[in-house]
Amino acid sequence: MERMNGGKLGRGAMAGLLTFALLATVLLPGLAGCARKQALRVAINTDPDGLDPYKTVAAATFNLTRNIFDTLIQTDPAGRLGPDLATGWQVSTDGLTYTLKLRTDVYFHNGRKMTADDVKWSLDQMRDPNVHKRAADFAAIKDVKVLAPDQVAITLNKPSAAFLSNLAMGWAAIVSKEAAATMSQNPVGTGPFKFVEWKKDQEIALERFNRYFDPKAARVDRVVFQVIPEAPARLVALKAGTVDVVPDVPPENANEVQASSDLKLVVKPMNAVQILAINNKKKPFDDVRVRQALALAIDKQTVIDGSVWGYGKPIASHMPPSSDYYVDLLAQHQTDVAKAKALLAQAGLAKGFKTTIVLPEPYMLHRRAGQVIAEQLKAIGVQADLKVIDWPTWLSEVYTKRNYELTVIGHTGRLDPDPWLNRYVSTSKENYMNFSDPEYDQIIAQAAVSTDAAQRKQLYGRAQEILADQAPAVYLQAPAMVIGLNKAVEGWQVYPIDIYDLRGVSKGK
Amino acid sequence: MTVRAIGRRLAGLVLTILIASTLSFFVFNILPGDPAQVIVGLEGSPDSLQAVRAELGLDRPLGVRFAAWIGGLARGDLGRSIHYQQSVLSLILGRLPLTAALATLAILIAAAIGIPLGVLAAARRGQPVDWWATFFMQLGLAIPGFWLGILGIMVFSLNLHLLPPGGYAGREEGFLAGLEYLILPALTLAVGRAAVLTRLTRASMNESLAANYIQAARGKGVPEGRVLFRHGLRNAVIPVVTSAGLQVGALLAGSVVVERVFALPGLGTLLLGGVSNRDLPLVQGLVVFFVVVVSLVNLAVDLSYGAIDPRTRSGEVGG
Amino acid sequence: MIERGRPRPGRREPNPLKLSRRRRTNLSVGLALATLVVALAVIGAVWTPVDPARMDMTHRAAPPTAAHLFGTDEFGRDTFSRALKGAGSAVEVGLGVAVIAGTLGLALGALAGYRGGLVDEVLMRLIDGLYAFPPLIMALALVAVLGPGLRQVTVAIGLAEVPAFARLTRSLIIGLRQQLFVEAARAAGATDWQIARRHLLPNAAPALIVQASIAFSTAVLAEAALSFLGLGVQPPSASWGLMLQEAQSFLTLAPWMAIFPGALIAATILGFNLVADGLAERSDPRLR
Repeated sequence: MERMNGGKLGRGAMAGLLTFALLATVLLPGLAGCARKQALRVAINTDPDGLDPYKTVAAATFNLTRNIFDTLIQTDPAGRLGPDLATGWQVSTDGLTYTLKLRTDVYFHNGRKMTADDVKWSLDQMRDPNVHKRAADFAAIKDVKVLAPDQVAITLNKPSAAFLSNLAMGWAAIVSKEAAATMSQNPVGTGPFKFVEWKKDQEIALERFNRYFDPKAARVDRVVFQVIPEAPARLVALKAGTVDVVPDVPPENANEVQASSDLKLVVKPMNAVQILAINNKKKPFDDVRVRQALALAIDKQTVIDGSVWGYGKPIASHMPPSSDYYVDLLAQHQTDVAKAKALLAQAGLAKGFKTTIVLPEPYMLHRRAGQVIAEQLKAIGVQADLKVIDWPTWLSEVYTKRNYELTVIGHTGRLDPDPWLNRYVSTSKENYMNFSDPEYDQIIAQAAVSTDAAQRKQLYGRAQEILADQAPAVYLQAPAMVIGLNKAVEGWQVYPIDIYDLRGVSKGK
Repeated sequence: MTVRAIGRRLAGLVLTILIASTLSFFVFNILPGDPAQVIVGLEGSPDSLQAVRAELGLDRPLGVRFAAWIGGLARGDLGRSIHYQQSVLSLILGRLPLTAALATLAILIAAAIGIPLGVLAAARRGQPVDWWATFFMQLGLAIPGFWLGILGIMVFSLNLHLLPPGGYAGREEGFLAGLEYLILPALTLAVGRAAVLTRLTRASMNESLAANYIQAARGKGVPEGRVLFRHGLRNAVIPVVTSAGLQVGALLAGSVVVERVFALPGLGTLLLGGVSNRDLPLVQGLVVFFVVVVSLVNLAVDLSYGAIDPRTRSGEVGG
Repeated sequence: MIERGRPRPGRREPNPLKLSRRRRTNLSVGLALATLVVALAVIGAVWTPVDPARMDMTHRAAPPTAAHLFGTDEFGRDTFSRALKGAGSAVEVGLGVAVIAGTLGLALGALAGYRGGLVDEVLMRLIDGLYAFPPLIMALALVAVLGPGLRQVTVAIGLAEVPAFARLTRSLIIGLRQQLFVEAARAAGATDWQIARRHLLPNAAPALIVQASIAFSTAVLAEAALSFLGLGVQPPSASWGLMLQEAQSFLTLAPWMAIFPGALIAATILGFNLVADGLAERSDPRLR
């Protein structure tokens, strides 16, 4: 294209420019896509704020960094933990010491061999709140010792059932210490792909790392994450073949993908919940009957239809159905407008009341759910005004200051039930619902230190029941992940944490 | 214009920039929302929130931060972006080429449509051509840029598959290849400008065509096309050029929305992203940059206008 | 988008006698469109064919039919009814902005122009500082401070439009101040207030009314842009900009969601711009 039309434009004449514009318009359809390199191209919706897994909390970063870095332990698509850089681990009987055996065939992208010292260094960084944005996840670590070049021992302050699963999160990556200062822009890890370049707001390119310990893992030479912020544009790029994968097809467009002969659609449950969070301290929501009335008045299927075009599963408590710890409480918590009205009447609010639902602007599914909910609450005389606020305002007003009545929000991407459920503990700093229930606090505290799997399962089941009954929030749905793929792409997996794992993903002709 | 008058204008310019900078600092600093909280997000711990606040210097009092920001400005230092962890100036300079290319393309298209149309309307005054030109101009002014952009995407990208629906690959594939991504946005941005140029050209052509020497040229049998374009337009073009300040301001404002619609990584996208991340240094820096650009263009226009027509008092032009 | 390349009341052709017919057509077409929009707003306030908030998940993004003239949106709501309500939002913002910007701008501009000297210098530097601020950015920031919602958006756009009014008023007043009849009134001992009321305002009024009409259409455009960016009118209230924002995900699925609200915005702006133009032609050409 450049060669064909460059001369005309080079003269700089306006006529030339316009001719070029016309020519380009006519010639483009034939040329689109022919100059693309043989690489797997994945559309991402936002440019990450950095590629250092210690310096961010954004899913946009971890989605990508899984391919550059490895973790000691990893999760499979079902959420079960397995070996990664650590080939195995032993837990002492008091539950305080974890001894990890490490692989000996691991190299950083800069060519240096990874040793137990690197693992210790990374773990020490992770638990330093001045370095790591999620240091709280590793606050239980008391000490890390190198026992041998392929062995480390991690000692905890107190037993922590969630500790191992925290080591599998994207922010528990083992990093190269030489590159620490520039990690954000030029990440160096041990992963199957190494970082090549980052064109801000355009694309991030990785290429196969030939010394990766599993030579069969990377099945494409190059991976390009292409930043395309607008959903319609991602879809068009997929249809035109300029990207191979769109991991977040807007559900309303799923049919379009399915209808295309070059594309395929994959729908997987997402490890996430969408909730209508209630400020339990604000009147009238301090009355449990009012909260229960809200839960009874909202028809979850309609919310799912209206917000994600039907691509979601209704829930009754704060746990997605994809989790091993999920208990199905839907049957006991059916929509029942008459009962909701009766509860409101008992609470002295037979005539209903006025309230406000604040909605975070960047999230279309929450904005839409809020509109559906406001409409449904009319049936019990509750007039809910909507207020869409931008993300920083939401974080500061709702999450930090807890200055709100109702809000629709999503929680996502944890493996252990503890991080899912401990935000409802009355003393938790993340308890923006202001929920308080002594039995609940006690259950969560007990389950967090228990090492008995069956007991934990039973305790977390009870915790979910309490949430469903006490309704600190209305549990709406677990949305599905709708992925659009070129038919040539094989092996794309969906994980319960925020990662796009490209090991095993291939692209045929 | 005297040297003293120019000096006064420059002093006024500095003052204007200072006022706009102060305003931009305080307006954005009283916005609800904490940049550190945006970084730490939903799952981060309160400890890391404190650490981030200290790292960004957000724990200092407002007055101290203001002094630091103005002090930096005086040295030409726009500060460091929180989100991109990069100097604001280098970010702006990195995005400028795209927005500048978009604006230039838009103004070229606008001129290519607006000036001939304005000349034609003036030459055929009161005839159907004039009526249609006016109609086009009014329509161009009335159609919101972002709606036109959406319609363009619908027709040219989604239905005819002629142009990309958004995004930009110019930095990757070179400017010329990148041009295909700019055609639709530039056309969108150009329509309003073309309408303004049609109006300005038509009005000043009318004035210029009424002049004696034009009548004389016609009387001497000079061909009408030559009369219009050589004699008429030459004089008519002055007020058109002097509207440049207005055009630049309107293009910058227009590009914010157009870049959003077409997902172009230019200055407008940088600004909207900065606001939604509470990247205060970036937003403040961008606003000051916009203000400086618009003020400088206005100053340049005023100076040239003053040179052309010494009767004009500098203070009255461009507003 | 708030633009400044709008017709300015001062600039007009040399011979006003010649343009009569075309300009008269403009004014009547403009008045017709403006009346239509206001009428839609009034109708929408008292009656809509369907409850604009009623959702129907079985008829989502359905094409136009007799029952739904403009089709339905993502929730199965009637786009026509929502467009009627949207006319109300547009007129409210337009009027509000014209009043806010007009009052404040007039006061500041008149003060600067009439007093001159230091007052003028200080006020004008301040207004220039504001004027150099890209107006959309200013409105964005103000909305972020004031919070979202129709009223807040009106105030934000109104404030962003003050500098334009102030500068116009000031230049009008400076022009008039030196006129003979003003000098004469002053010589006859009239007070500042009397001069302003009897001589300056009546003579400046036509140009200011034109500017108000421009402010109206600018406001409609700005409200649409802010709502489109998600910072304006709040759902489930209807606004044309908000409708366009929601339509963006449905460009292939339901193009009618984007076409009708946009056309209404364009018609409104066209109407009020034509009115401004027509009025400018009618007002006294010696004004400036």
